[in-house]
Formats: sequence, structure tokens, C-alpha cells
Amino acid sequence: MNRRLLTLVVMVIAVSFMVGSSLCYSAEPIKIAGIFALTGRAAHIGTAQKDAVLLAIDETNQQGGINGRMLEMVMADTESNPTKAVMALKKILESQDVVAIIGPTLTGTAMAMRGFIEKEKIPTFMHSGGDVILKAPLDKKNPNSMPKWTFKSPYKAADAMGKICQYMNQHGIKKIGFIYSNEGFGKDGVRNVKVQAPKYGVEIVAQEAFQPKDIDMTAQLTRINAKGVDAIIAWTVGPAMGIIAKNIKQLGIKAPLFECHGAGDPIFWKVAGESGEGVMMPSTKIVVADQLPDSDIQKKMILDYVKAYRAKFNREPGTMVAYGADAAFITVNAIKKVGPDRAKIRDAIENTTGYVGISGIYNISPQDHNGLSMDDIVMIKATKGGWKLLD
Amino acid sequence: MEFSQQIAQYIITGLTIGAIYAIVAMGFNIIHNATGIVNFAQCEFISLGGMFMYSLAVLFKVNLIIAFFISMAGVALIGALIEMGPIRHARSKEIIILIFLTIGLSEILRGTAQVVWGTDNVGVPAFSGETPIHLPGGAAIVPQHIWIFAITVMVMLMLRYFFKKTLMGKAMRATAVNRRAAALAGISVNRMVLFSFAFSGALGAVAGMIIAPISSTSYDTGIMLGLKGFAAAILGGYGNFAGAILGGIILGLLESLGAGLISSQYKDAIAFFVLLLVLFLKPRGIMGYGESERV
Amino acid sequence: MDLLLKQKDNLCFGILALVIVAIPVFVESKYYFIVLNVIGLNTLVVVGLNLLIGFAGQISLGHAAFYGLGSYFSGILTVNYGFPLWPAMLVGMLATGAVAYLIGYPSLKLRGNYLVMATLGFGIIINILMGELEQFTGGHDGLMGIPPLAIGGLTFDDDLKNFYLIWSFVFFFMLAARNLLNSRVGRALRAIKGSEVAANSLGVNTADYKVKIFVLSAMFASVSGSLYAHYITFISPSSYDFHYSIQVVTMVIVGGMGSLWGSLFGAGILTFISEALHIAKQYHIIAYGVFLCLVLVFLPEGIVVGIYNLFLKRKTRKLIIK
Repeated sequence: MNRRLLTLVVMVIAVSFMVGSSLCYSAEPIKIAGIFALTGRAAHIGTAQKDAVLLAIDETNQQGGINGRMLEMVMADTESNPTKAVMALKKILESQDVVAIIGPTLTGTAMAMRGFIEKEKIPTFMHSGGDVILKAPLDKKNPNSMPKWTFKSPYKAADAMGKICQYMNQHGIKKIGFIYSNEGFGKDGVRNVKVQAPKYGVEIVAQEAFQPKDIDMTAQLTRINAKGVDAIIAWTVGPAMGIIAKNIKQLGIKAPLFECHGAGDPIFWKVAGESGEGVMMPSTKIVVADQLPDSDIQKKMILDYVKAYRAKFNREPGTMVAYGADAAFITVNAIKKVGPDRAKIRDAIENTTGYVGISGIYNISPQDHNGLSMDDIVMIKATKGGWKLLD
Repeated sequence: MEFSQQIAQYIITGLTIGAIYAIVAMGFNIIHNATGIVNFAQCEFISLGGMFMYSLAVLFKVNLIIAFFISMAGVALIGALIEMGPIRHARSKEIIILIFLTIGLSEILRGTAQVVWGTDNVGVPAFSGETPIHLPGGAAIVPQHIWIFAITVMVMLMLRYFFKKTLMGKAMRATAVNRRAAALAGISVNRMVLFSFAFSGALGAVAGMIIAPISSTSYDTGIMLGLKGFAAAILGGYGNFAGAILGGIILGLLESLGAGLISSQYKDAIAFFVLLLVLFLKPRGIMGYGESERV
Repeated sequence: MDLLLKQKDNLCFGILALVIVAIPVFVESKYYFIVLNVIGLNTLVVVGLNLLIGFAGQISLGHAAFYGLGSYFSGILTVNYGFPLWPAMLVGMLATGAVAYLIGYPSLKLRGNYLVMATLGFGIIINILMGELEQFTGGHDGLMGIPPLAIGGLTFDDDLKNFYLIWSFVFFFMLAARNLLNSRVGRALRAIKGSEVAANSLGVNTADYKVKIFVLSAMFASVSGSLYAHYITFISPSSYDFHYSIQVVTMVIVGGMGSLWGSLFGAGILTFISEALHIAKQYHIIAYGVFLCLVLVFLPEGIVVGIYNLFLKRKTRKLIIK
């Protein structure tokens, strides 16, 4: 009986200790919050972004921080859940000295947080894929109520899709099948392809969905193939990227496969194996930096970052890393320029023009809180375990 | 592609997914047959099997066959430890408490797996290459699918033999029906439950390993597979091994035919809707036998 | 004895009311308020679910669906159709009850693991529909711009106001649950849990009671869902997947099956712990699992009754030693 009581006492002490220690903060460094999906279904993306942001902050600190003050990241986990994301946000805002937020990872969590971010007036640089974050008005009745404090670093999915369709147009591809994961990101892709494909004279003849954790997509691909398509676009991030490539080989489908702008990542090769050979996708330049012409102004910046990334984490960076890093660097630059003041940082971020980032050249403006354009995207082809820059 | 060829492919796809659900379902059944509970840690056994296989075969370059058996033994050991620790020492043997204890245990296993292996999906080499095999009728599969079919059927036959014919298997079933009566008849109840956890750990690992080359694997691949496997077990009749195969295959066919012929967006909803209908008509699953009400 | 229990219960409700009123005096942090509010929302679901699990002995792993239906009815009616706020919530509650009746009537004939699967499957279907019926629900992007609730000129648009709103609901719904349990219905439910066959032979229409209590618990969840939607003002399908169903049943069990006050503590402790354990960084999932296992292994009667029993037994043992 005593032992049981002891366990209980230890538990109570442990918990109260944990809570107690969470309340102590020191005020010295400038604090930036990082809110990522570190657990739950998007943990694989969130973790990569966390590393990227940490590296960016480390670099700044090694160069002496900002006016002698170090940067510190306060981290929170959304558990890939919207409610938890809002809770994490409020927890972050408790410590008043957080000047900006980087994150979250998932579009769903971003949408849940967005309203509170606007209310609390804290600049937030998101790296979630969905364009809806910047496009949807805050108040449905007032179409002009656009988010003021929210920015996002990945390309607009519309541009990535446009890039693919443009490439198809140049290479004589007319009829395509579209396959997507049945969640926010995939549905966003469906909306975009319906807008972009007609612009470039590409016709969507088949459109199929699968669940993000499905283990087989041959049924959907058989149905697409039966329509006689010239190419297939797969819009998903995660294990399905590889499963689709494998299933296409299995079914002997000859139509080339295009994947989304999140596929240019070492994970792609892990999940696709040999079947990944020849898959094409839009991507940031980070995975093909060494193939860029020397005239490319991003080249040096990217190569430096890749070197630092390899040294710190001992692995190859993927395209997700670029989004995390750019969000962090732009925010840090804004703080450097105007000091740790939330409203001034917001204005500084909004006035970022011509910033040479890893994902592209950011020209942020009040009308465009992303700032990248289609020209920043390159098409790449998966070749021999690596990537080849296309034209 | 001709329509008949499409149908052939849908059916073959349904059978391959179904075989995987079936082998997962059998893992659930073993523990049910010894304890009457639903072991949600089964999901984690699947993930762990895949990740062990990855560590051995890819990271340490161990021969595939040896890696297969080491992983199986490893996860069986984890299953046994779970039983020897929390499950055996739980103060209440009430079914619902034990079920949620397995949920707690699966959180621990999943959390640990995430810390050890990280969150990325990783691939495992196929057992015998990836050259597609074209079947008469126009459908195509990869060699790994044949492995999945063969292993699933073999496991089913072995388990049937074990539970129906061997003394130990019978003792295990007796334990599930009535612990006290089994103990009075001289059966070591603890040992039976221990074995059932070890067996289902091994079986979960097998499931995780045979699909890893197809779908890749990560610390949490087991959740969705576990859920579908549980559904297959229930559909076929919980605890019945032939039922698990039948349930798995029906579920797999529903998904692939649903996706191919009706709507790929609603395929899971269609599968679960049919499952509900079956349960409303046959409350003990397709091959389930009636259980007399204990008063 | 009965009178004594009732007095003790009344005392507890008095304390609860006092605590609710007093908390804002001591707490200022918005973060603690959102934690408290989420605890309140979970408590509403857990109290309803406990009626079903703890008193009628039926397990449901589909309550995320009812919680979600409440949210979506409130959200869709007010945002898309300009419904007034409170009637939307009421319509949501009644409609959710109707859905619960339709699914509960055939499901509750199932037993044990089959009932678990049926409710789980139902929850998954509803979750898929939330994502697919885009023209109503906003699909996976979610439904945004849900207006906060208001009475007269008072709009519940911040954490503190929502705290009062949510916890008033908790207070009155717990009171209602207590009264229900002390009535004929409550006694019938306990009889069903004891032995369904025996209850049946004593003239209790067990099937009928089980469905009714299922509907009631779904309505509790629906109200909580509506409050959530108006509080966070954004909803999306990922808040209502089967993980939430499992989470609320876990709260019922940790709090203690068949204990009304246990529901409050179960929801409170688990919500709080899962937040507090974030201190353990990447180990927080493991820590949560360990906590859950410890409670279930050592305090299977629930955390409140369990600790009470521990002390009781210690006391009696001391007496014996003396």
C-alpha cells in the first residue's frame, strides 16, 4: 500500500515541478516563438521546419545576435490539432516579450490561429502550404477584411501548379489525370489545377482522391489510366508520394508523373526507392543549388545555407527546409532593422522587397503577404537518387 | 484499357489490401482469444515491426531473412513485456480498463519510437525485387504482393491449427471464456495471456514488415492499418481466424471497388457504412458465433 | 444516508459555484483561461458520456461526431444561413439528438467490442462527411468567421467572458445530470449496468433506456461543440477525428466511471496534464502515456475515488494497528 502512495506522491511532485518551472523566464534575449507540428500527423514536416528555423537563429547568434542581444526561440507543439494550436498560441503570448511567431505547419492549425493572431497583433510568418490563409477574408461578410499580421513563406500553391501546367504546355502534354490526398493540401490542389490547367491549354480528364495514410492507390490510378492521359499530377506530401510512383510502375503506366512542390525532399527517395526515377516536380532551388548557373543571385546564399545545414544535422536539406529558413531570416532581418517591437516588425516584414531568400526573391507588399512569384520556382526531375534541374 | 481489365485490377488490388488487413486482424484476434480485450497497442506492433526491419536491413545491412526473424522476436518480446508489466499488475481486470491501458501503452511505444527513429517515412527493400508481374486478365501486381498473400494464408492456417488442435491453443481459448474456470482446470492463466501478447506482437511485426516495402514505414504507420485491421476482425467475427481473412478481403474489396467504380473520395465512408449495415444485420460479424449471455 | 449524500452533493455544487466565481479574481493569464475553457468544454462531453459508460455500461468511441455535429450545426446555420445564435445551438442540439437516435437504435443492440467498432465507424463516416460536403462545411479548409455568442448587449468575445459562459453551462448541466441520476431513470440505468437481463426481468425497458441515454449524451456533446465553435470561431474536420473520441472516453475512465464529480476531475486532470507535460519537450507523448498507465494500473476506480480509497484504507489500517 505504501508503495502505491509513494508513486502517487512522486507523480504529484513531478507534475507540480514541471508546471512551476514553466513559469520562470529570464528577460535578457529577444524572443521569437516557433510553433510547429512536432507530434501528430504532420510531425514529419514540422520537425524539418523546426530544424531549419533553429539553424537560422543559430547563425544569427553566431554573428553576434541583434545589437548584442541574442535571439531565443520559444517553442510550442500544435500536435497537428487546431485546438491545441490555439492553446499553444495563447501560451506563447503569455510571455509578453515574444516579438514574432514563426509557424505553424498545417493549414488547418494556421486557420484556427489566424483570427487570434489578428486580434493579438503579433507578426506571424507561417509555413503552411494552403493559399487560403492569405486569401480568405477574416469576416465572411466583409471581403476586404484581409489578414494584416499573417505572412506565409512557401510559394502560393497556385504558382507551383501554374509552373507544372506551363511545363506541360511547352512539352505538348494535353490531357492529364489529377490524384490528390483527401485533406486540406490536396483539396487546395484540386481548386488550383482547375484554374491553372485551362490557362495553359491542359485538360483535366480524371480526378481521384485517396486518404493520406492509404497503402495502395492502384484502383485510382487504374481509373485515371483508363481515360488515356498524357501525364498524371499527384498532389500530396508524405508516404503517398512514393506509393503512387511505385503503383505507376506496377501498372505499367507510361504517362509521366508530376508531383507537388513539397516532393523535392530526401524523403521522396526513401519512400519511392527506384520507382522515383523520372518523376518531375516544381521545387525551390535548394535541392539543385550546385546546378544553378553562376549568374543566379540566389546561388551563393543557398550553397552557404546548405553547407551549414549539412554540418549541423548531417543530412541533406529538402524543400520544406527552405520555407522554414526563409520565414526565419526575413523575420530576423526585420527585427535587425526596427528592433523588438511587434508593430514595427510587421511593417518591416510587409516592406521587404528584393530579399534574396532560399525559396526565391521575396517582394512582400500589403497586397501580397507571400511575395514569391512563379519565376522563383524551378522544375526538377528525380534522377539517380538526386535531382536534375530541367531547362 | 478495357473495362474488364480495370475490374480485374480492382479485384486484385482489393485482395492485396485485404490480405494486409487480415493479418492485422489476426493479431487482434489472438489477444482477444486469450483475454477478451481489444489491444490497441497492436497498431504500435505494426509500426515497430517495420521500423525494426528498417534499422536492421537498411541501417545495419543485415540479411533480409535474418532481419525478419530478429524483428519478429524483438516485437514479440515487447509484447511479452507489456503483459508482464502493466497488464498483469493492473488492479482491475475489467475489460474497458484494460482496453484503455493498451491505449496508454501505445502512446508510450509511439512516443518512444518517434524519439528513436524520428518522424520521417523510410523505405525497406522488397523481399524479391519490384519487377511487376502481369496476371492473365490484365491485372498487375509486384512480387511483394505474392509474399503478402502467402504469409497471410500460412499464418491463418497455423493459427487455426494451433487454437483448434494443440493443447496450448485450447488452453488459451479456455482462458478467454472464463479465467477462473480455466485456472481451476489447471491452466496457468498468466502464461497463456503472456503467450498471446508475445504471439500477437510477432504477428503485428510480420504485418508491419511485409507491407513496409510497398507503403514505406514510419513511427506511426500502424494507426490507420490497426484501425482497418480491427474493423476487418469485427466484420469477420471477432476472434475467428477464417473470419479475419474474410473480413479483411471484404473490406479491401469494398475500398478498391468503391474507389474504382463509385467515388474515391468516399471509399472509406462506403466501407465503414457497409460494415455498420452488416453489424446491424449480423451483430456478431459474418462468421461470429453467438455468445451466451452471462447473468 | 441518502439525505447525507444529498447534502454532501449540494455542498459540492456550492463549492463549484464559488470556485467558478472566484477563479477570475486569482487568474489573469489568457493561457490559463483557454486551458480552463477547454477543460469546461471537455467536461460537458465527459459528463454526458459518463452517463452512458458509467451508468448504462455502454461504450461509445463515436462522440467526436456528436461534438462535431454541434459545432457544425451552429457554424453552418449562423454563418451560411444567418440564423440567430441561440436558436442555432438549440436546433443543433435537437438535430444531433435525432442523429444519435437513428444510429443508437440499431447500434445499442450490439455488445462489447462490436459496439465499440460500430460507434467508431459512425464517427469516421461523419468525419469524412465534414470534409467532403464542402458547399456547407467549408471542407478541409474549415468554416471560418463564426460569430461569438451574445445575450442582449453582452458579446462573449474573449477568454474571460467565455469562461463564465462555458462554466455556467457546466454547472447547470452537471446539476441536471445529478437530478437525472437521483430519479427513476438513474435507478433504472444502474440496474442495467448491474445486469441487463435482471433489469429487463424486473420490468425495466433496457433497450429503450439505453437509446435514450445515448441520445442525451450526444446532446451534451453537441452543446459543448456549439460553445467551442462560437468560442474559437473556426472549425475544421481535424478537431473531430477518432482521437478526440478516444480522448474523452479516457477522461471518463481516469475520472472514474459512474462518478459525476469524477467526470469533472477526469476532464480537468487529463487536459491539464497533456498541456503541462509539454515541458518534457519531445518526450511529452511518452510522459502522457506513462501517466495514463499509472492511473489505470493503480487507480482503476478513477482518480478521485481511487485516491480517496487509498487514504481510507491507510486510515483503517492505522486503526487496526493501534
